[in-house]
Amino acid sequence: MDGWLLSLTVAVGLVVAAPFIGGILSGIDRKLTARMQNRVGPPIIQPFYDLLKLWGKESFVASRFQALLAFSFMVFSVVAFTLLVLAQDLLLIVFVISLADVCLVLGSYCGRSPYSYLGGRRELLQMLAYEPILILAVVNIYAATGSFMVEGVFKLGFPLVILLPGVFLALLIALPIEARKSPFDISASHHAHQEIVRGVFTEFSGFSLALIEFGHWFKLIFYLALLALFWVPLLWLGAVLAFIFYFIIMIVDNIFPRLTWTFMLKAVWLAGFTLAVSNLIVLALLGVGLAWA
Amino acid sequence: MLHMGNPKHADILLITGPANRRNARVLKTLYEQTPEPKVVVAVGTCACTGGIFHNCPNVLGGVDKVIPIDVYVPGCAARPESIIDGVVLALQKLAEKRVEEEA
Repeated sequence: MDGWLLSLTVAVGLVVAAPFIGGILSGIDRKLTARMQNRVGPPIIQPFYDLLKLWGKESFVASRFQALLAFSFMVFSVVAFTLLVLAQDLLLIVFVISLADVCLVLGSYCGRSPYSYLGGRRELLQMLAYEPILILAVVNIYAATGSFMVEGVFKLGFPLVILLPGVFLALLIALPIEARKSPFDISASHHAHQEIVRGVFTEFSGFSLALIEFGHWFKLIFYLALLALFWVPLLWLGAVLAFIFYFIIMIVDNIFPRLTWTFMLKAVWLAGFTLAVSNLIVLALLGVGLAWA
Repeated sequence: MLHMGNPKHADILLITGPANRRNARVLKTLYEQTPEPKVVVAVGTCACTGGIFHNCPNVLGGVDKVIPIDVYVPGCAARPESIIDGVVLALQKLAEKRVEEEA
């Protein structure tokens, strides 16, 4: 009973802390970017000010359905992260996180703006690139632990990354897509605001945009938590590594140009697929992993 | 301070150049697409009054002929320092408008 209560407290604490960590991470991102461009940059907590500002602004929505979709994006992102910290079914978690993305794409299709349409299509391409990697990662985790539950990873007793180094690398390759960073930031084009006018976010403003930003922080933390999951008995090491990888991605974001969607699909599918599938094949051939036992 | 390409994400509308018959409609649309509270800054003599184009047949004059302006930044061309000065002034106005809206 005590253990159950403790894990629930930890889960609630993590869900409450996630948006703060996400906001501070994006604040650090803006500061780091500014310093790399020889600017002073905003304070670290600027994203929270921005969120509050958006909250108070007038909100234009194309339809009430669009407002609902912005809200659903936020809710599904929060639910996915909550399910992860509650150690639930990984398949369900991946489906919920893709549902959040689908909401965003549908929302961008609500407006008539060509930029919004373009952004929506590119967002679909991004999903096409990283969703298979996520599903393959879940299949690999099943092969290694014999269970789709996150609990299975905890029961394994040693870090998952020992069995699944390929999957871990594949997820790292897909991380810039999820974090909306160059070279794979094709749908929102964060660095060039004018180019496709923020793509998927074109038609969102004010409160809806604040909700999407909030949901995005959750998604980011969700992805970093997924990376940390691979180090489970050494969860602290996983968390530290996940943050380090995120900082590397910030630097890559500032160094690399944004590339075309064809390159993104090729790179993520060739490298990511090969790594994840070969990892699965090696597991099967060697007969390691609880699924074959 | 972020340079936004999308009026729906913007707080301050920076306008350079005079209003003419072709761009008046676009200007009005952009102004309407910027969510409240918002502040409009006219940068340069052209945007303020029409400048050297003031008596062209197609030019209506300053941007204030089409949409309300909050801050005028004169100069041809306006110096970077004065543009920054104008934007800082606009930020103060934005804060005032926000307080007004809350009241």
